Amino acid sequence: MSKSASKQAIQNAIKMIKGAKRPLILLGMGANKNNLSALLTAFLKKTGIYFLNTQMGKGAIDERSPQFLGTAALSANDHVHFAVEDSDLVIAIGHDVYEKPPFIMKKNGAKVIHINYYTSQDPKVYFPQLEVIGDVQTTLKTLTKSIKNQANWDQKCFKTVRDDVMQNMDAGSKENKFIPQRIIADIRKVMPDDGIITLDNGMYKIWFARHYRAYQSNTILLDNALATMGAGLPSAIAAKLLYPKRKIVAICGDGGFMMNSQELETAVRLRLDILVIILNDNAFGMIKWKQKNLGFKDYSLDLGNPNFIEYARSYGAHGCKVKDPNELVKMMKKCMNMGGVHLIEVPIDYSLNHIVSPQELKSNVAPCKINQ
Amino acid sequence: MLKASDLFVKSLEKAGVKYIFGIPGEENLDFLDSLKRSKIKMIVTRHEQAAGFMAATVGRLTGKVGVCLSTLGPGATNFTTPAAYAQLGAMPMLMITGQKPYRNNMQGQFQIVDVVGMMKPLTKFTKKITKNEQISEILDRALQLAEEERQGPTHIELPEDIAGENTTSKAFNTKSSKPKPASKQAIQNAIKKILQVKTQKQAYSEQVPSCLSLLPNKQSKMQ
Ligand SMILES: Cc1ncc(C[n+]2csc(CCOP(=O)(O)OP(=O)(O)O)c2C)c(N)n1
Repeated sequence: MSKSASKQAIQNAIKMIKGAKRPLILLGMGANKNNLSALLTAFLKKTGIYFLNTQMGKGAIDERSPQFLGTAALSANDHVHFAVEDSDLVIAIGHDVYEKPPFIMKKNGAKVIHINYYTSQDPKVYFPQLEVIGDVQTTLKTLTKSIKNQANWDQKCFKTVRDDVMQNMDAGSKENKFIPQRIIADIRKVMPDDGIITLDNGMYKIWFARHYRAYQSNTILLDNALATMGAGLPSAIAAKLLYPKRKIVAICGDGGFMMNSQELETAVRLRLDILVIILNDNAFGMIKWKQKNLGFKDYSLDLGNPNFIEYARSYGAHGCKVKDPNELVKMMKKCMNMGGVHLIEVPIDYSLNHIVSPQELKSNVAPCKINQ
Repeated sequence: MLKASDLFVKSLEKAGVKYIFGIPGEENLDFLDSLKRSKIKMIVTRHEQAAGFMAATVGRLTGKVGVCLSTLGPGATNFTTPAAYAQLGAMPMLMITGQKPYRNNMQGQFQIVDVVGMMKPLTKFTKKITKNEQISEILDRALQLAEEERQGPTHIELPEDIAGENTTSKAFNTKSSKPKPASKQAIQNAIKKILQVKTQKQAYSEQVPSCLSLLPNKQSKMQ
């Protein structure tokens, strides 16, 4: 058990939050630990403050909340960042500088209160003006008790940013193409509220972080700290062992999947019910995208792959390939109801990656007049 | 008498460990045999890296240490990526790796890598066990540190000769929480007793692990 944060620090936080004009909440990876969800939700509801999260903070508060501003999957210039720019105080709960920065702190920008079990700082990107270090449950309880929605808070811009983000989040979700937005919307449709998706590392992780709405804590397991490839399938196996009744789906790129694909045998041997979805672009897509963004010539990042269907079957798993975007929902349901180890190959269409490239993001226009 | 590896496994059991992920090598065979007689389920994977990711994920989802096991050298080096994964992601995890005999190794430098040294920058705690009497203390520390904020990975190296020895130590009863200082009263009582019993040989009761169930774990469908 961690000690409670000092009374003084908590009092200072209360003062700063009450005195702020446009406070925001940021949920980092620690928000998904120690059963914080209910306390976080209570704090959010009582105060009415809008929130964003980091990739690893997804799900700690239900993202269907009307106060959700989106996930800071990138460090700057995405739609959600307009809210951060407008804010004068970010209440960061559970953030850790090992996560890719959800935004870059500026000397004259929003102040930050860091709330976590331990300190976390970086001189260039994250240097909170106030730290509330200690048992986060106690801190949250006190904050919730002491703070209600304040008349001096101005949330107009946040509301506009939210509308903008939500519109973007759903754009493309019905298109008859294998674009990430459509695939993600379909997977979300099939996953139960407590179903867990485990991601590997790759281009699609950015898309999932931006577009997949997590309803519960730890229902999207991804790694944006080491950001290693190869953990998608193993973490799905571990999650299934811990929660035999919940639906678990590993979602991997062809690159990441092949780094630990041998664990299909482990899953088959343990007779687990697991679905693996491979988003296949026959390439190390994320690096290809970065290569292009930085103006380098296309070189060496295309891959050959095994026939994934036969590959899965050779392990005693089931395999199939989705040929039409409209098949995915049906196939997923079928596999998940049948039980056993399944692999579904989806030929992902990355032609819209430019949307999240730094150049294009910079041209996004703020949906409201930023106050700073 | 209890075998040292039995003591180790018994202690893990008491700490609430349900799964150990990994690939055993010959240096882990005593440990594996102890696992066979425990309630802990050994999940054998096809690569140590995957086992490490699984153990870290158990830590991430439960807040309690996830455990993985490998042989020395080549198995242990495969744990480096999951160690970094658990370290950067603040996931409580314990890695246990084997090693050639501590005392009388007749294989020269075959397969020997400084695993404890290798794990230094990747863990909160890394330690070789050189006497079976240290098992409880080192294990307790490794579990505690992994679960204490900021959570992360720890590592223990267990040489094969030590694993196979008999030990007179007892399995500690950890909930892997920080030990509280003993009450003054208890200390006073202890002093009294010590003074009373001048030369009493410590009679270590043979502590056979209870309920070393040979029944298959009900949760599992493996059988
Ligand atoms: C172990 C490891 N090696 C290399 C990288 C660098 N890297 C990040 S994403 C990526 C490509 C992933 O390709 P794939 O899994 O096919 O997913 P995609 O990007 O195509 O969606 C690479 C090589 C990494 N993060 N981890």
